[in-house]
Amino acid sequence: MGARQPENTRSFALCAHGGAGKTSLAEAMLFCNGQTTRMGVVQNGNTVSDFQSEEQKRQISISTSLLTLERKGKMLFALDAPGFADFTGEMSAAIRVADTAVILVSAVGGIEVQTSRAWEYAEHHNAPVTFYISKMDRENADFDKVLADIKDQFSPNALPVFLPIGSAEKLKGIVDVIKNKAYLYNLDGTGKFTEAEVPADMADAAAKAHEALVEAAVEMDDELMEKYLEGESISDQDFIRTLKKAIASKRIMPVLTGSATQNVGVHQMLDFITDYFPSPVDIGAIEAFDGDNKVEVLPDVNAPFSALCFKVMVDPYVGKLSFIRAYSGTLSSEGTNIYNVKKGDDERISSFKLMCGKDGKDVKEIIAGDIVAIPKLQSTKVGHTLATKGGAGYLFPHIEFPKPVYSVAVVAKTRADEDKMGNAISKTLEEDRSLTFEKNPETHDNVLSGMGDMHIDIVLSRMKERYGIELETKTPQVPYRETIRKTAEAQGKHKKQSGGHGQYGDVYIRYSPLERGAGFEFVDSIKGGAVPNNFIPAVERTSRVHGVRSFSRLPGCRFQSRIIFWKLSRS
Amino acid sequence: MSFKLATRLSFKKGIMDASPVLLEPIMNVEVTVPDQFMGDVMGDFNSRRGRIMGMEAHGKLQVVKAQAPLAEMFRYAIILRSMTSGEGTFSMEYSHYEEVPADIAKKVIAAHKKEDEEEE
Ligand SMILES: Nc1nc2c(ncn2[C@@H]2O[C@H](COP(=O)(O)OP(=O)(O)O)[C@@H](O)[C@H]2O)c(=O)[nH]1
Ligand SMILES: [Mg+2]
Repeated sequence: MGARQPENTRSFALCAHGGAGKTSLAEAMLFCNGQTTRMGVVQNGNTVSDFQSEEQKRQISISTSLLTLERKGKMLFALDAPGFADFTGEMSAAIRVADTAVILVSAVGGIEVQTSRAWEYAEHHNAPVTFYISKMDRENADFDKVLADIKDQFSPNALPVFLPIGSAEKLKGIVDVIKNKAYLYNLDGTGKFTEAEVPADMADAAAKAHEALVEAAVEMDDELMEKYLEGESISDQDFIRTLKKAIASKRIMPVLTGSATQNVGVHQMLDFITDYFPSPVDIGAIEAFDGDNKVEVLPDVNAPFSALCFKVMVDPYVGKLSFIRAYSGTLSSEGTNIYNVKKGDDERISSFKLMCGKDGKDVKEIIAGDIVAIPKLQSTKVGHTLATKGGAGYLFPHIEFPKPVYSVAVVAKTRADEDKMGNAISKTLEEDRSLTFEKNPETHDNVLSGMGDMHIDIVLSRMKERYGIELETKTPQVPYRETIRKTAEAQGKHKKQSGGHGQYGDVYIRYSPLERGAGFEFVDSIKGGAVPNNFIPAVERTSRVHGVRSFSRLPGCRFQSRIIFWKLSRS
Repeated sequence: MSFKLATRLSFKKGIMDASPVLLEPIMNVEVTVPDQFMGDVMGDFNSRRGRIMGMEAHGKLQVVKAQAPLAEMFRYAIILRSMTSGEGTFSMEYSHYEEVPADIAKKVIAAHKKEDEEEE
């Protein structure tokens, strides 16, 4: 591949509400770039991104897929993040490691809940944003309305770079307002297009959109700004230079459009990404921490190597794949180890893989800015910083995942399932950071918690498919407790004459409430020597056990009060 | 053995004489929703034996702080999502134990009694 440079790398996360068209767009990009010979269809379960059987069955994306595209000497890393609310953790992580967030908004459905969440994450991670108004071929597609809503709800910096020519079944193509050219398509999915002049009835709109871009771009350069205000014309070169700067700094959030399934405008979008999306160098320093000290990490290929693991995939066939984003340096897979800064473990690298859905292509060397997968790392988990031993000693901030909000108790169906449960769950937890598992010490329930019922459902069917283990779910039990409100005393007398051996026990116990939260207390207040000591432990043990299951007899119910054992007699 | 049985006999009687009550965990719940769902969210808390502890505005969003028994909250993620078309989010943590109202305690105990007898 020759000496690659981070200047030639583009990475972006496709994010949106579920169903906005991310997976279809990714599919069209691969096809337009000549990397597939046929466009897959989400409904047919044959797209490159949705390769997991649960994704194909449900026709939605569940976890982030990485697609690598090579175009005009540049490397493009696309992360197709799932859109449904149950998987927002994946979306946030994808935006964190990609250099640009591409937020898709359906031209029909407009802004939806998860669109806003994508926007919030992009703001939170300070990621440059490009909007893509999708599905322009659909009936009732309304570019202008969706654009106005984006400006209103998100940012006035959203400025169109592409304008659709027609819409719905009359969609003809797009106008690129930077180049001031039209690209005309047949609506046949082949992606074949012809370049043409901007249609006369769109000339005004295109000129206005172009002017808006120039006006915002020149703000990046004071001298140029003055020239512009004085009415001088701005050269294409100056415009493009400042436009790139404005995009990297969020002064301009380009708005693109087209149709993924009809393959309209996708070629131009890929060119736009290649030419105008910020490279890791444009993004600049990333923050890391060496102890309490802040460190600025630059995408310098000669600096010590550092990377962040943002996703782990456990595939029963491929094995474990750790997805990493490199932030600095260069690393070769030959004879090197990778050092887990967090764990202090040195691990052997077998290869680096440029991923395209489930398929990986080996690559010998990776550089700052790359997003690749490494097979078979043992101790590396999501959020861990990787480096080389004795090299970069800092840690990148941990990747945050939302806290689980929905819990079920899981019960193994059979004894065999029970034996396999621990292993299957720990493997699943490694992959899915928004899942937790815990045995409730009071109710003894095995509680699995996630982001919603769909999430839990998917986790369970995946475990069944991969590890052959079946788990039933129940509503978790409430860890009830009991107490008493007043003091009472009671004698308990057991007497049994069987054969020659007599059994006799007679105890007096006082029960009294304790203050809230004080738990259980057993007090032995028998005057010393009154009874043989060896009977007392039996009473105490029974009190404690019995205390756990007393009046309500609810499982695991702890009894909270003071038990004063004050008299015991024996015949 | 005899003392074990004697202790159990004392317990059975003693605790029933000492006004036993059932306690349940109460959760602190924080719900964030757009303005227009405030009424629904608050009304819903009433129906789950909850109480509203406070409200705060955060821009276009409202944060409702409430307390409710854990027993009423297991499906809240699903309920809140459908009540607010997915716009609401919440977080929840354990706060303290409180007495279960007598009528509900009766039901809870009755529901478990059968299971328990099978076990004994
Ligand atoms: N008509 C039309 N349908 C589309 C387009 N893009 C996606 N779809 C359909 O919208 C649905 C959701 O698409 P998908 O790519 O899975 O969306 P994702 O959830 O954002 O990945 C599928 O049925 C797609 O076939 C488009 O450009 N035009
Ligand atoms: Mg998808």
